[in-house]
Amino acid sequence: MDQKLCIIAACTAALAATPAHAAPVSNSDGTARVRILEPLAIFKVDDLDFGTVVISNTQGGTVTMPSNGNPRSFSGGAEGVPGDPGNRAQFTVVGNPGQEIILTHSVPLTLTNAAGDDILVINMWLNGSPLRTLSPVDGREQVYLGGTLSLAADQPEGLYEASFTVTVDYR
Amino acid sequence: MSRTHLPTLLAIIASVSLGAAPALAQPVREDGKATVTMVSPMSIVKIRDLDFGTIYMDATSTGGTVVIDPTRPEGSEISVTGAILSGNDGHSAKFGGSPERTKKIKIRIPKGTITMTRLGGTETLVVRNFTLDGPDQRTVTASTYFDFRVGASIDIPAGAAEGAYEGQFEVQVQYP
Repeated sequence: MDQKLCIIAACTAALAATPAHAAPVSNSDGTARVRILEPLAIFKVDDLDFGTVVISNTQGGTVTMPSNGNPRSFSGGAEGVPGDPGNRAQFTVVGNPGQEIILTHSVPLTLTNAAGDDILVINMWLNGSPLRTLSPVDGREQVYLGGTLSLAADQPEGLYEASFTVTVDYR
Repeated sequence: MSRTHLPTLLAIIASVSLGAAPALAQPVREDGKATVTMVSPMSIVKIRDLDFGTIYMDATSTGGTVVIDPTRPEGSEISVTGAILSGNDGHSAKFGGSPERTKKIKIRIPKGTITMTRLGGTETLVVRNFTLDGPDQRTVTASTYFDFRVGASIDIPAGAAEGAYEGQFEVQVQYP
């Protein structure tokens, strides 16, 4: 009679060991992402040229080159020589289509001629917001600059020049 | 007795997304120049008009040509060819000025023809071949008076109507 009981106990134990099936594993997928942007480049198309200006010998004046493509305007004793009307500055920015950019630029204090005479720069400005979006089609943006110069009465003749820098960065 | 070995598998895949490359990009820059050319004012005044003077022709005349040559001395500028006579009372036009500063100027006279119309009528005569008394580019000295003469030619056709004819022409002085 005793032997019969033992057999049943052994069977039960065997069943308990069965969980050789691995417990379910939780899987999760992640994504690795990288965004390669075309390098940003800026090219100068045109300098900021105020053209040729005549200034009275008794009255100073100003010359303004608009950034929107309109012709120059004058005040005081300054007049423009029609044969040399000048032009606004133009730069082309090229980069990733649709990407936002930020523009900054320096403003020279004066323009100077070879003899060392100075013309005061009142201001220089962009043709719109410094925050732009590159074209979604070709990744370009045209940037224009205008400015105003203050001319002294009897400003000495000559070609006056100064350099400025336009900087662009992805936003 | 069997042993069960439960492999424990913990897979952690980090989701890595790099911030948009702009954070790593360098700003780019380009230089431009601002320029202006200053000139002091100068004005030119007309001292006298271009006058071909009085021309005599009779009814049978076949016409002729009158030339005012500004490179010849004043008083001998007129020459006439053909069946016409000049009263020798014509002269070249003269313009003058005095610049504030010594500078190079370029004088521009009409390249083509202009038309003179008879006063009180509609008949016309054509003035052609405008000429200067020297090179069109010259240097003029500060505070010093300078002038220049302008001449031209006209063809008088046979049967040209009697009367005074007048026309306008423009002379430009460019500087620098």
